[in-house]
Amino acid sequence: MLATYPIKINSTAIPFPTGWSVAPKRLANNYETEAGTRQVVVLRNARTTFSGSWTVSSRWLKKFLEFRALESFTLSVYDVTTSAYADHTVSITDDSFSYELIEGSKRVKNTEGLYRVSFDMEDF
Amino acid sequence: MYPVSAAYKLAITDPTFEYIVTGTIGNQAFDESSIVNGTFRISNQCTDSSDFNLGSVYTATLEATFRGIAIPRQEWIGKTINFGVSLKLRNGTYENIPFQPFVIREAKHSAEGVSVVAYDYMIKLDKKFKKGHFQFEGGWWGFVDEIENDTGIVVGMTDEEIEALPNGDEAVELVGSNGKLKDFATDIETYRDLVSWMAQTLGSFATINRSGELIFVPFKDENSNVDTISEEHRIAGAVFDDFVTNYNGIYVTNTATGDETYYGYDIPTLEAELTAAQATRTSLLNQLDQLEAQWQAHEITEEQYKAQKKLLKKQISNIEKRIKWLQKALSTATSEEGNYLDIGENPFVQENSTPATVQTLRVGILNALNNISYTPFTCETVFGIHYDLGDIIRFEGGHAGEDGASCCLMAFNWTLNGTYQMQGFGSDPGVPMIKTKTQKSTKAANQNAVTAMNNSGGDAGMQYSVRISENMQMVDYTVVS
Repeated sequence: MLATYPIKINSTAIPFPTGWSVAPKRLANNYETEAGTRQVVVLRNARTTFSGSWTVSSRWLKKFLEFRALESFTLSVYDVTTSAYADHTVSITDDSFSYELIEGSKRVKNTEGLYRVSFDMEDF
Repeated sequence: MYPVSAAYKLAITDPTFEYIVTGTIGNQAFDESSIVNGTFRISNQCTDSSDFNLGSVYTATLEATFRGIAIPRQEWIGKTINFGVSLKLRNGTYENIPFQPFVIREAKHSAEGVSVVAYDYMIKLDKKFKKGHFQFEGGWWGFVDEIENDTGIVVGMTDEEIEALPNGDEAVELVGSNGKLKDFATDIETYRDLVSWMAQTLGSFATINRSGELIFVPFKDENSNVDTISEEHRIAGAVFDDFVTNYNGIYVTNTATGDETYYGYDIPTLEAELTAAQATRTSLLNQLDQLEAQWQAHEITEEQYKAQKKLLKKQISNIEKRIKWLQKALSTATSEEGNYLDIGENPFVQENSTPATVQTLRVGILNALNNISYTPFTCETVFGIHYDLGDIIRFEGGHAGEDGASCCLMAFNWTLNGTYQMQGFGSDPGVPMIKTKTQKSTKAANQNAVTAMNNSGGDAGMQYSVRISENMQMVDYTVVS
């Protein structure tokens, strides 16, 4: 599905990730009743955290660094429930962004070096 | 209780709840995504928080912190918040529960957002009462018209609804024949004071309904519960008192003399009325049997049969209600336990009209209190916004006991996505609410005087009002009815 529906940030298709995970989290207030059962007020069914890692050229690293500086951006990902793109307004979470130079990649042509980039994005 | 669908009632029995908010502040729309989590709170009450009382006029408060609403600084105060809260039903749709409009009175800007405090239209009554300006003839509707004209508040009751309240069909006036406000009414400072005395005389409390209109709500019979909440729907921590609050007397302060008059139920009157009501019921039931026989014998047409049966059934139902009421009054009157309510210097029940009207109004207030038989409580649930103040709710199981408890919703404090805290207040009738030793003696002396009169054969079957001197001696008594 990633081949047909590449991940997009602000409508720009980004390179295929080498690792990709999605973690929806339910936000709720839990209460225990007099009978010992549980009652839950659901604030939001899924606040999702997306984690990805990529191996990219320095040109794409620059783009990712630009996204990181944004207060928020639109992340479009394939939604298996609707078989279509779903848009999420997200930001890159603090301290999650890191990148490292891949050893020996400086000689790879037209790349100015290859980098391993990883970061998390969270729904607003 | 706001009328909700069967699907809504089903949804509140589920373990999970999902709410959304839709509304406007001025002309700016907002929803739950504009509200900082845990800050949206509404509270209101219909009696004092310390004890039950009649004639409360409380303003509902909405507190919330908003983010991302495009209202410029210094333009928040005075804006109206209109909104409804919707609960998700099992089929995925939402059912909306409307709330009355709130007007923003305070707004503070902080890192969190804009924190506002808003009040419902009851604040319109915080206006100086125009003395000597109340010129009209007759009953309560005249007051209602004047209040609407002077404050801009809308009264959301029809003439018939007001007439159906305790004392609702009595004539009252505050202006003497010389066109001036009577002396005893000069203490009324604001329209809120006026509405409070009105509500007390009408055996009710005043509140703002979901349409933003002023209404008077009488306290209902403890068996007229709108809902039953069992232990699995109550959040742990509910507290129910071990007594049921009831009243078997009232004190009225006579402004002219400064003394107090006690009104209690007269047992022979109640007994006589109960016997008469039971006889009427028997007679009505016989008539119903006769009607059935006539119908079986084809002596009457189907139309006649149906019409007469409907009429008889209605009469039977009314007399049965009356019998229940009398039985309850009798049980309160014969019980050694019972509170009295001090209604103070209510100007409507002073010498405003013929003395007979004054007595009728005072006894009317006492009779309205007969409905009160509530267990004081504190309880939290995760639902409840469809309840209204004054609703009777039955709690069963758990700390409410096997027999359950009938409670009156007298105060609530609701937080969006949090809990709905309900409270009912009242005092233990076994421990009379004595403020001073003098009052205690007065009450005892009054009761003794009434008992003495009854025992001496006095005017059996009548209700008395007794005046007591400063040294606790009976000065005189008046036959009330």
